[in-house]
Amino acid sequence: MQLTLQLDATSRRPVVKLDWFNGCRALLDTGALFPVWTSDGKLLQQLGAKLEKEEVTFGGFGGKAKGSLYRVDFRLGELVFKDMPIVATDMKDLNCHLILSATMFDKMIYEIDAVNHKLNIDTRDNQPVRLLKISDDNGKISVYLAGTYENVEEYTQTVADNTFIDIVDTNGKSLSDEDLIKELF
Amino acid sequence: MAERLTREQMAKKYPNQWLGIKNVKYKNDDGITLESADVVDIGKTKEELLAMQIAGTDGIIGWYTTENNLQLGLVGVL
Repeated sequence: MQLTLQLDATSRRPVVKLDWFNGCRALLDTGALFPVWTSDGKLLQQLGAKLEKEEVTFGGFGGKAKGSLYRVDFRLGELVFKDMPIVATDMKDLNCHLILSATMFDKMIYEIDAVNHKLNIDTRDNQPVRLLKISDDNGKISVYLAGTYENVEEYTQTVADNTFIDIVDTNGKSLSDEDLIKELF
Repeated sequence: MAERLTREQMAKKYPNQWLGIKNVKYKNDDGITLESADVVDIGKTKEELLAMQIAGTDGIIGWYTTENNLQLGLVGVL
C-alpha cells in the first residue's frame, strides 16, 4: 500500500498536518524511538487517548524530561495505529503537536521528498492497521511493530484471541504489556 | 482587532511565541504551508490555543512563529 502526505513546504523539518486530529501538526523525527505528544496530556485525552502511566522519565538529545504514557487510536493518512503508545511531555517552543517516531514506520519504506515537499510511504503489504508495542532494550524503551492487519476488524479479532501478547526483551524474558509497564516504571 | 500578516511578518513581529490565527491562506492551497492569516490572539499559551483549536472555538488555531529550535531524537530510559 502506498500513500503520499503533503509536507509543510516552508518548515525546515518534515511536518504534516492531521486534519482528522483537529488540524494538529506532526513532525517526523527519524531519530525518535517513541511517539510524543508535545503538549498537555489532558488535551490528548480530549482526542480520545487513555492515560496508562504518569511520571515516566525520558531522555534524548534534548536532555531528560518527564512525561505521561498514553494510548491513542492514531491515523496517518490511511494507516491506522491502534492503541498506539505515546508519551505526553511539554515542549512549548515547537511548532507541532506530535512527534512521529522512526519506529512507527518499521517494515515500511518511507521517503522525505524535500524537493516536492511530500512524505511518501510504502508499507510493502496490504496491511494498513499497525500494532505498536513497547519494548525494553537494556533499560531504553521504544516501540516496535508487533503486528499488521488488513482492517480494524481483523485486528480486534486477533487481539481478542490473544489477550496476552508476549513481548520478548533483549534478555529473553517474555512479558505481557502490563507486566512490562510494571517492570519498567 | 485582527491583523492580516504573512508567515514571515508573524515571525518578525512576534518572534518565538504562540499566536492565535484564523482565516488561513495556504501556499498553493496545499492545506499545510501557511502563507498568511488573521492574527486574533497574542499572549495565549500553546495549551490555551490548542484547547481552542480542539474545541473549534471561532476557527482559531495555534501557530508558533519561529522555526522549531529544539533538538530532537527522543528515546526512553529507566
